[in-house]
Amino acid sequence: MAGDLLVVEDLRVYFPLYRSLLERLLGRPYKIVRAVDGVSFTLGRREVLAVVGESGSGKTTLGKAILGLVKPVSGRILFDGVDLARAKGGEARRVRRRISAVFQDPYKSLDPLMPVGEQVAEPLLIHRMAGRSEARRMAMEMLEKVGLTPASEFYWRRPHQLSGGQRQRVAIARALITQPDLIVADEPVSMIDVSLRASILELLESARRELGVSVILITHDIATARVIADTVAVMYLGRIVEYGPIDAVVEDPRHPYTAALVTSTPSISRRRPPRFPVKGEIGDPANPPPGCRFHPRCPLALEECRRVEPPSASDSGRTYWCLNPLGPGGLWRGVEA
Amino acid sequence: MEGGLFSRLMGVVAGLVRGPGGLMTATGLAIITMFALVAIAAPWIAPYPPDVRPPGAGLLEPPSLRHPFGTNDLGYDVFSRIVWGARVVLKVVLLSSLMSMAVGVPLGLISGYYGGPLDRLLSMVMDSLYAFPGIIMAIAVASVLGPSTFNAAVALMVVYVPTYYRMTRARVLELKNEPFIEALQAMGAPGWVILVRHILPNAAPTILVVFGLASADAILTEAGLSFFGLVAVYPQPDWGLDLYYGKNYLLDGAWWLVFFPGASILLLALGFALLGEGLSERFRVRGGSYG
Amino acid sequence: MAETIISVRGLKVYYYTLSGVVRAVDGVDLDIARGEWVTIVGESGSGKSTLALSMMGLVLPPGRIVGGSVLFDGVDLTKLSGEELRRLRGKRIGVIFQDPSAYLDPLRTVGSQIAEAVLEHGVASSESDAWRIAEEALEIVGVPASRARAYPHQLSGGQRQRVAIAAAIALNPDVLIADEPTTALDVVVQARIIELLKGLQRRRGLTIVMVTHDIALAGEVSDRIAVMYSGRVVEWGSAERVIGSPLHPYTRLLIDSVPDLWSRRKVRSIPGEPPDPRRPPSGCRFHPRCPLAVEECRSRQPPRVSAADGWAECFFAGEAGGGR
Repeated sequence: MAGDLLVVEDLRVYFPLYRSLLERLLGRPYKIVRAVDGVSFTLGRREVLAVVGESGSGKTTLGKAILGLVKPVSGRILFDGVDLARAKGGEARRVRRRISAVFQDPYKSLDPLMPVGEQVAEPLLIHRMAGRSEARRMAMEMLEKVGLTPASEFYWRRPHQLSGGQRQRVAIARALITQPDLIVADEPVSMIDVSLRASILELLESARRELGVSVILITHDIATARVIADTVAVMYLGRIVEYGPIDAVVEDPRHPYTAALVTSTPSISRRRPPRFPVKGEIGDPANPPPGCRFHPRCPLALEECRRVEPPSASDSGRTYWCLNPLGPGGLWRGVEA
Repeated sequence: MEGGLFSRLMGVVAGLVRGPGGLMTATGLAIITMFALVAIAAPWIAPYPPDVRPPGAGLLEPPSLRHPFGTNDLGYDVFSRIVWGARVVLKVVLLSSLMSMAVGVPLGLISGYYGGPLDRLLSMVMDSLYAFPGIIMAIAVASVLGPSTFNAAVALMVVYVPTYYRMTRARVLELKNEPFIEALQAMGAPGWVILVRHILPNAAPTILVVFGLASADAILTEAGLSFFGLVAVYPQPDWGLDLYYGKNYLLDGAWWLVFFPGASILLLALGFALLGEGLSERFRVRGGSYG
Repeated sequence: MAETIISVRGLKVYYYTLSGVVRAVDGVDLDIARGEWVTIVGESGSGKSTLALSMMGLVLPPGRIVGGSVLFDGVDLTKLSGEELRRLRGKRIGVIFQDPSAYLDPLRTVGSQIAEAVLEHGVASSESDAWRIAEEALEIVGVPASRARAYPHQLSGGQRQRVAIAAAIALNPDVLIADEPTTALDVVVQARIIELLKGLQRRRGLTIVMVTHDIALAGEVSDRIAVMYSGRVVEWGSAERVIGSPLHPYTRLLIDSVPDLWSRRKVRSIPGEPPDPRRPPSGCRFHPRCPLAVEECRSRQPPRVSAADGWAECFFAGEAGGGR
């Protein structure tokens, strides 16, 4: 599609697992972790996509692949028509500067020794987008924009002189200063004080609104995702199991795993569906179950779910990979365990 | 930002002297500073020339008011020789430490950050150098090059480059996994920017600690070299050399010929060792928080 | 109302650190009834864990109980010796933490670790008895008895937390302190661990004191909630009332700041930052962030304003609450 900013096609990222000396001597083959195993989606301009899943689902690896921090073994990541998995040299650099990152731990994602303002200015210098004094002036402006006022004072502070929320604002300022088209934010609020999380989400939301940035929000918390996302991709063991507009997917999911996720999330609301019962815990990504990867935990699993990898199916805007999906409104009727 | 270089430096020193390991750091710095001042001010401190027999001085005179450290077999004033000798040892050791650092640190940075075949090759070379007993290697190198302070510094450099290399590389491997380095990689920062602007400053404390500890070791190795006449030629003032000639008169009861050079070597080595230990406590211990 | 099992009176727990005195718990009164589930909710640094653990006499250095008392079944824990406390813990008060691997010995089977605790506290007289009790405890928490011979690393995160719960309940305690028991787990697993705890509370009459930063979770599972802010419990009451019509502005704003999956309301952060527990604000500690604050809030500790089932420490508790 012409208007899409990012197209990910059949992306696979595998890691070899460490073999002990004994295993090497015995000539055992590498065990492979299939962290991302055939993921496809598209992201439009100004769109906020949430990638939701539990630990081991591959959501963080997916983000790292888009940021170029890990190399995919196959598949394509088309950013504005350029394949990030293959781009080299100048072309790669030109595209990279249009993608920024915000990481989970604001205590560790900043250089502990450098004044935070300098760190905000740094991407401009790295990409030769401004001279030193110009970069400094722009960094001050950006600090102001993310609410760190007076900027002239915050500029010279070191990370340890700031609170967690303030540091995450610095990280967002650093991500925005190059006027990127895409921000990949990996759990940007999970280490922030509960009472301050909304303001960090609001910053990302206003970046989309005012600067037209697209956002990939990687999170384990689908309630956080629903605050700012338009679309959601629910991941399980390296695959997307359901993808679509977030309201539709949350309120009326088709995939049993999505149903389990949304009904397990604590809520103070009285209007909420009954808990969807699942067994066990997420499997080992080095050794995923055959057929549908969710079948060992699924109360709706059929005999063929053990053998057949479910094909994709579509239903009023959402896509899901399941042989025995919930029907419309099925979430609210509940399932007997 | 504001303030002169000197006042900023004093600020850093004050920060190091307070906090954990501060007493060791302060003592070490005091000892080193004392010897450095003695070396710089040698012409004014030394009462006599180091290699001329002062008028009226006897041979092998025991310590007295006129000759606080006594005189040697040629009637030279031992105190003056110690004072001038401080110049030699400090010159050799500081020069060699700076050269070792200049070679070992960049290699360690590159090796640790980029990895790959170069890293494996360098590690192998450095490990084999490291496995060699330091004093024997220094003697071998210095014998080939001939006796001079510069050659001695080169010989010591060969011995201590692997120490700087290994410690720097280990620190880089730690830092490389820090999320802030990953964040820089994600924004497309070139390797040299990450290394020079971010990894090097964060590795600096480690390098300082190595500087203290390796220099302490280098002083002892240097003494060994000069003992075998590989640093200076008699009658140039040199602690190791004085130790060598002094030992011949030990049986005659002239203890001061051995004691004062030996004590100076140990004290200076102790100074650097305390500096290194103090710094390593200072940087390893960081206060936790409660809540 | 049921009999009170834990009664905290004027409790103050301070940490004496190099950078100052941290007033983790600074004057707390609470009464916990036998068989109820009480959740202490607060942000990081509010002192919620310190409060919960001091209810079993567990205060780690450099922390000290500097005032007040903790009555457990009529006995003042602050007056007991270390040995007396140790006997009480485990036997009558169990505890589970966020990370069960931190206190499960990686080199011994989980069954033997539970059995050892059972023997040590004299609940069983022989090793085979102890082992049987350990297996029963595992079955109760949904871990097959055959897994008693497994080592901690052979279990998943959720199973390890189940083992920790089994170890805590094997001695049949009256109270279980659960310090962020599900924070490290995924939501689907969290839901099942909470279900397990709920079942233990209902079937065995276990009293549960849970600590969490997740007010929605607290609202779902608890009978009563204590909301902590900067070392003080600022609101106390039934879960339904605290969530449904909070009296304290902090409670109300906290609820408004948390994304909720099913009520699609706008979320708003609380302005400002949580206070430094070394330098808590004067008067009402929430006043620098409070939209209702007046001059009096700066200078005076607000009184406890009672509601039908609890209280809130706020000058405006009466007026501010109902309007939700």
